Formats: sequence, structure tokens, C-alpha cells
Amino acid sequence: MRNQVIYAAVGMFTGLVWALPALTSIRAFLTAMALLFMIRLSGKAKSAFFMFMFIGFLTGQFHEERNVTLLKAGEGEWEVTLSAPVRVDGDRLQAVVTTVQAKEKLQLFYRLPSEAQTELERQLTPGTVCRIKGTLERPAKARNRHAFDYRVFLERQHIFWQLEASELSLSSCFSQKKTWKEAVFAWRLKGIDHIKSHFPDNLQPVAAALLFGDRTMTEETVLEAYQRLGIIHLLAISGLHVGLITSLLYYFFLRIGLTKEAARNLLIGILPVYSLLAGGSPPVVRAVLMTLLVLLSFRFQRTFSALDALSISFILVMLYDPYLLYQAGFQLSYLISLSLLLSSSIILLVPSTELGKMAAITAVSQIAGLPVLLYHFFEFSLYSFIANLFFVPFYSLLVLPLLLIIFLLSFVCPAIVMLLEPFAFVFRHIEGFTVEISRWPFAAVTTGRPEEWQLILIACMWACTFVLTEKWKGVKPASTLLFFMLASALVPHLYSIEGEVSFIDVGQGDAVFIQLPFGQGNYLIDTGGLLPFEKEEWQKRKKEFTVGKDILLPYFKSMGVRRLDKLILTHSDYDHIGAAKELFDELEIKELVISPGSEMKPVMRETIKEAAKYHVPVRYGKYLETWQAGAAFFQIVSPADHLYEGNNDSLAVYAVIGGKKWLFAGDMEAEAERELLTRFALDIDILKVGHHGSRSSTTEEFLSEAAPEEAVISAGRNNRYQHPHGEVVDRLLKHQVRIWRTDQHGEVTFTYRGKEGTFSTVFP
Amino acid sequence: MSLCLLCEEETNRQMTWRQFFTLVELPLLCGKCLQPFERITGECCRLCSRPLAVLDASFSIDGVCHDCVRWEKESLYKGVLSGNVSLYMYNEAMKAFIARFKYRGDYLLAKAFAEEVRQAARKIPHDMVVPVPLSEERLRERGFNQAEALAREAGMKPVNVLERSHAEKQSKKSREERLRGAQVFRLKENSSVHRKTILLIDDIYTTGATVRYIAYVLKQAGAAGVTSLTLARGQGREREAVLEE
Repeated sequence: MRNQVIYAAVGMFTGLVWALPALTSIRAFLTAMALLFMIRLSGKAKSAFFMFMFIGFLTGQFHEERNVTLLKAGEGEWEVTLSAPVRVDGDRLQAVVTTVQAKEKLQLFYRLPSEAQTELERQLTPGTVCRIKGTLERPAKARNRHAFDYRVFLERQHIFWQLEASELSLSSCFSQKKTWKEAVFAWRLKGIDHIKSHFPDNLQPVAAALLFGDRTMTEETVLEAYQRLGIIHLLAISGLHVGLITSLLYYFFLRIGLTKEAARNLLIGILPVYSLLAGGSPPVVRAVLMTLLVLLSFRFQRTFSALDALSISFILVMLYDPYLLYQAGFQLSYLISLSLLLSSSIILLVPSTELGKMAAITAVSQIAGLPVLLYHFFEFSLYSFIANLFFVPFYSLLVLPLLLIIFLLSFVCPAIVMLLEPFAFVFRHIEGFTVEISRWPFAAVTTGRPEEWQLILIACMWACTFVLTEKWKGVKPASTLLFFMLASALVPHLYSIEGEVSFIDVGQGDAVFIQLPFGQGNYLIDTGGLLPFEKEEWQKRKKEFTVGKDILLPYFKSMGVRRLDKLILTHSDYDHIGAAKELFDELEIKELVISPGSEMKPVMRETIKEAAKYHVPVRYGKYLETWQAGAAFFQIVSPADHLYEGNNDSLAVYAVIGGKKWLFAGDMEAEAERELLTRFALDIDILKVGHHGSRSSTTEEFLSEAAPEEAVISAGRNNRYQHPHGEVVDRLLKHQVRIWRTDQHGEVTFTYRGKEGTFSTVFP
Repeated sequence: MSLCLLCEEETNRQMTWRQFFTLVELPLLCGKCLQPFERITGECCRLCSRPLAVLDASFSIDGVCHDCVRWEKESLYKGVLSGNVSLYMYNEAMKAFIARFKYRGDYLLAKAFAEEVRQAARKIPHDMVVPVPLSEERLRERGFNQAEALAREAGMKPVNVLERSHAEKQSKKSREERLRGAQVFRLKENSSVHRKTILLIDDIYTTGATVRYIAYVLKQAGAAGVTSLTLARGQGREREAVLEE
């Protein structure tokens, strides 16, 4: 049965994706493969395949049925055990806790009232039991297409509620006898503390990341750079690390005179503990399980191969928690491991020098992970091959062993850390250089999230790439296929035959994205934004939430948008243009169009200053200015004067898009509406309601005259201004206008082909 | 547990992409051991599948190699052999392989390329498979007929219609002697190849003498056509090497 367990694993996977929520394309692809195996497999392998398909289905069903909550929303007091380390970021404390009674996991949040309380991070060790007053709320759902869905994310970790603590103090907590797991977590924290108190400053983050899988100390800029270069996996503990640590330890045990058998047995004991110390991420668990299986197989005289070990570890992990399937880290880890194992004959094709082998392995891993990267991160890196070729040996042969050895020795002789000083110097420069390179053009190519049909295409080409390279023993067919694979991910987004007008849900604020078909133009009217909020230094989080970085940029990335032909900033208010400056660095913006005179106001002035830094041209939107792009027509219809007086001087854009007449009214109020009516014989199909549906806009008079059929109100959920006002809604309904609201529907999108279009929303 | 037939290591035997998707059996040799074997590809002599690429252009005429041209000039042998298909070059690896297989009697090696032999045989129209026979003496010495073993392991049903009288080793004769040499192959009594299209199996093709002698005998006995299939193809340079039984 050697090498046949893989079919059991594929069977299990197929069963699982039918039991769990999954993409149709993934189901279709696996089902097609299952059919193929059904025809071709013989004997035992066939029965194993079917049996595990069944087991997979049952496992999925079992977990789906059990992954439910018995708790209810509301205020109350809960007795909970801290099941994982507490994290404090600025003035926010968060932790995963388990209720003592129902044993249900909760995501705990607490806003620390004082700086002194940041000590809680150290004091609340895993295993502590606390009584916490607070409110149970459902976690937030994704409000825009392709956005990160916190609710789903937590549910896949069996967490259904977030507990917003109203008070939390050490006095309401007591520690109990730790379970062995909690004890290991406590060691981990001690280890990280040891790094913080002994290692050179700039090596602390990398040491914590490499030795304990704790990336929280690493700078955002470094993380971003590593992400863009496709080497972020180096900062996560991966199979590579586990392999290295295993061999280092094994070698060490043999050197101190243990027999091979004793050394192996010792490793079998140590590795599970290590996987917890390292944070227990999927790649670590995978690698540890595989290593354990291989070590155990020595006892049974080597009855299975690495491929079998991989397959068995997959089956075990899936039996334990099938929801791991959804994690990008898990997908990458298994997909790349499988690909490397199946590619041994491809790797043999390359001249067997060290560099040749490294290059072959890197190439296989890069290609293997591509579909997952495209789906989860909407981009691929052109430099990642080279970057990996340099950084993988750098990290695995130098950084990790050095840090590990010094770390262990520093317990015996703390002075040894001095040896790290010259290395810290070198490392600082390498890191700086890395950040620099990641800013070069094409470091990351944005493709957008592949649609389902693209995914199937990509999956097929992915498989063919490997099969054909192997069959024809050359890289030419593979590189052609690879090229088409990337093109098929890239082109449909760039030259979509469908156009879109999207009212992005940016909370309280406006952001309207117009994407014309065939790449004829991308326009963004306003960006949304948050009112700035003064914070003391200790309160500041490592990464504060911003509309630009957390909503808009991921949104554009997921849509494959890298260029804005116009960024129209209607007027100088935070909720309309606050996030604009966060876009300049990442998007290519052809021009900024602002309301005449609005640059006198502080928010706009600041925005323009930032734009200058990135050489983004800024100009006034001129009254009656028009432009045409493909079949779409645009005209600026307000304001008529150059004196900026606030909302009523919002740039208002009239447009004909997808055969419909639109008015994007900005924050226009009654006065500007009246003026508009006097200047134009207005006839509108779809109205972007002025000023988020405030009572002072969208007058009776305006509605009778303009007579829109549909209206979109962009307002934040539970916003403090209580927009949209009930009267406005009534007025619209009276005029039989269909209303779309971002506060209720999430993102609202009008998709059109030619002159036909329909509205769709994220929430029904 | 199955090991590589050559190096008897199992770690080197990895599943490949094609096997994973198409579920063909794992090759019986590991990737490392398989690597030095050279499959015959590219343009070959239309008659004997000798690769023309390594041959000087002056040694082939119209896609037929010099040797075959000479054979076809012999009135006795003209047209007796419809063609020959060989799978691998007779390089160092193959030399060692065949030595181990037939001289040192590692019968299992007959399975190593069985799949390739089977596929090649499927492409050649035939209604009877005939292995090149050994003399009784040689058969006793080796214990099995390597040509028959190749055919059998490839799932064919070889029919022993021929016998061979023991004679001096082929390799010790000159070309002239071989061409004119006494016919050592005979049709067995009570066997008939009348109107049969025959696929002749052997381990190696060097000068083509053996298969042509046999083809001649078979044709005389009324066979409709004779094509030969051999595992290896000598480059012609190692004349001194093996055209033994």
C-alpha cells in the first residue's frame, strides 16, 4: 500500500468539501478527480478511497453539527478560563477564553482604562480563571465583497461571540492548577520575555518569530515588505524550521553519546511540546506530525514514505479539526509539501549542484502555492523566486541556527548574547534593504480574486504545469502554461466586459467606485474616512484601523484594480476624503479632482499636501466640465461658483453609465439641490442620496422634479447621526423610489453589460 | 514493500505527478536508477530505428541507415524484415542492466521495462509473438530465455516456434562470415507460421543479423510479415560487444 495513502487523503478531502461549506469550483474539481480515481483505481486503493470519502463526509457533518453556539447575546457576567496568551495592543486587550460552564470559546476584548493595566498581558497567564462583566456580541461580518469576514473567521475557530468586557481586573481572577498545555504556553511566554530582556533590540522580533512563532513584535513595514516579496513564510515557523530543529537536536543527542534509538525516542517526546512552544500553527503541526510518523516508522522498519506520512498527517488533522482547511497557511503548507514530494523527478532534471537543487525546489514551491496566494492575497510577487533563493538559506542556515543556539546558551551564560551584536548590525541593513526592494515596481502584481471559473482554469493549468514538465522533461511547456495561468487570473479583471458602480461600505461616509468595462476607466468618488481621535502614546495600537488600509486598499486589490483615472474628492470632510491620503502610496492615481476652493479647509489642504509628496496632480472640478469614456458620460453639475462654503459646495457629478442616468450628489443639501433644479431640467434614474440621507437633503421638490427610480444611501451601521433620517426614507418611498442602504445592505453594487444592469448587495 | 529493482533502495522511489493523476503503476526502478537510461527518440532509420541524429549524414540514404541499405542489397535478405523497433540506446547503463539480467540471471529485471515493451508492441500490428530462441545448451546454462522473459512480463503470449542449434558465438565472426554463415535457426516440427504476421522479440539489436536470419526462416515458412522489437539498440560502434545469443 506504499504511496497509496494519498488516495485515502484525497478521498477524505473530497468527502469534507461536500460536507462543509465550500466553493463550487473546488467541489467540481475534486469531484472530477474523484470520478477519475473511481475509474482508474483498483483493489484496496479504491476501497480506501471510497471509505475515506465517506469518513470525510461524516467528519465534516459531525463537526458542522457540533460547531454551534448555545449562548445568547446580551449583558451579563461570565466565568471564563484564559485558554491562550493574552495580547495587549495599545489600549486594547484581547484573548481567547473558554466559559467555565458551557466550555464555549469566546473572543474577549477589553479597552484598558489606564496605562498601568497594560501589565495584564503579563499577569494573565493561560489557565487563569476570571469573572468578567460585559456584553456578548456577534462578531462583525464582511460588509464588502471579498473582504475579510471576522465572523466566519472566528466561527471556523469555534468562536461565535465576542465578549466586550466592561471591567476586568486582576482581583476578579485567580489562577488554578495549569494543565500541561497551559504550562507549555507559560514557558513560551517566559521564553519570549527572555528574548525581550536579553537580545539586541532589532533581533528581538525575528527571534520571537522564529523561535516561538510570535510575530506580534515585528514591525508592520517589515511584515508588509516580506508579504510583498513572498517571503513572509520565513517569519512563520514552517516545516523547514521543524526539520532543521529536529536535525540539530538529533545531531546534538548523537554527539553527547546517545544511541540513535534513544535519540529518536527523545525526539518523539520533545516534538509535540515544541509544536506548542512554537505556537501550534498548521505548518508546524503538519511538519511535527510528519516527522513523528517518520520517526515512529523506524520502529516498524520503515513501512511508509514521506508521501504516506503527509497523507496520514492530513487525515489525522482533518479528523481533529476540518475547519483548518480554510486557513491559507494550512493550504499552502500541504499543497507545497505535496508538490515537492511529487516533483522529485522534476527536481532531478536540474543539474544536481546545491544551487541548482535550491532553485528547483524554490521554483516548485513558488508555483505550487500560486493558486492559494491568488485566492487569498489577490497578488503574486515577481521577485519572490529570487528573494526566496536568497532568504531561505539565509534564514534557515544562518539566522535560525544562530538565534537558537545563542538563545539556549544565554540561559547558561547571558554574556554570550554579545556575540549577536555584529550580526544585529548586518541584519538591520538586510532588513532595510528588503523593505527598499519591496517598494520597487512589480514587487507585487495585483491580480484580484479569481472568480470561480478562473479558479477551475487555474487549478487545471496548475496540474498540467507539473504533469507536462515531468512528461516532457523541460521547463518550456511549463513556463508557457504558467504564463497563461497568470494571464487568466489577471486579464479578466483588467478587461472585464461588465462595468460596475459600487457603493463601498466604508462605515459612516461615502466611497463610490465606478469601474467602466474593458478597462475604459476607474473612478472613485470620495474615500470615506474616520474622524481623527486624539490618543495618548500608550493607547496607540501597532496598526490602527483606517478606512484606507483596512477597507479600500484590500477592496481594490481583490478587484484587481491598481489604477484610478480620477479620484474625485467632493468636499473637505473626513467622512468623504479622510482616507484619500492612504491610497496615494499603493494606487496609481492619475489626478485628484476637488471642489473649487475646498483646499482652503484643513482636511483638504492636508490631503493635497500628501498628494504632492506622491506627485499626484490636483485640479478643480470645473462647473459643466464633461468627459466621455467608452459609452459612459460624465458632467460636473455643481457647484457653479468658486467660493467653498461646505456641504452645499460638494462636487456633484451627473453621469450616464450602463444606460442609466445617475446623480452623485456628495453632501449636497436643500440649497444646492434647489440651485441644481433652476439650472437644469433634471431627470435621473439613480440617485446617490445627498448627505447620507440627512433631513436637510433630498427635498420633496427635488424628488418630484428629478424623479429617480432608485436611490442609494451611503451611511454607517448604527451611525451616531442616525442617518438616514426617517423623513427622507418616507419621502423616497412616497415617490416609489427603491432604496439601497449601505448601513443595511453592506456594499451596494450596480453591475451592467451594455445598457442592462442590476443591483446586488452583500447582505440581502 | 517494493524496492527499486536495481539499487534496492526504496527512498528513491517517489510517486510522480503523472502517477498521481493517471494512476499508472510506479516504475519498478527509482528515478535515480532510471535516469541514465536513454530512450531512443527523434529521427530514426525507418527500418531498424537506429537514431540518425548521431550518425553522419553520409551514412543514411533517404531515412534508411547505411547498414540497412546494405542488408537490403543482399538478395537473400531483401525485404524479409518489415522493420525493427528498439526502445533504449545500448549505453553503459543498459549494458550493465542486460549483463545483470541475462548473464547473471536476474530474471526480475524483465519486469523493469515491461510497460514500455507492452506499449511499443501494441503499436506494431501482429498476430503472433515469437521470441528469439536460445540453443538448448545456452538455455540450460542461463535457466531462462531473456527474449521470452521480456515478452512474457510485458503480458504477451510468446510462442516458441523456432529452435537454434548451438554454434560459435556471433561476436567472434566477421560480418562476411555472419552473412554467409550457416543458418542456425529452424522452424520446430509441428509448428506453423503460415500467413501469420509475426512480432519477433529480442533483448538487443546490434547488426540486425539475428533478426534477419530468423525473418528469413519465418518468411520461407510462409509468414506474412516479420517485425522485430528489441529492448536495446546498439549504436553499431560496439561491434565487438554483444551479438551473442
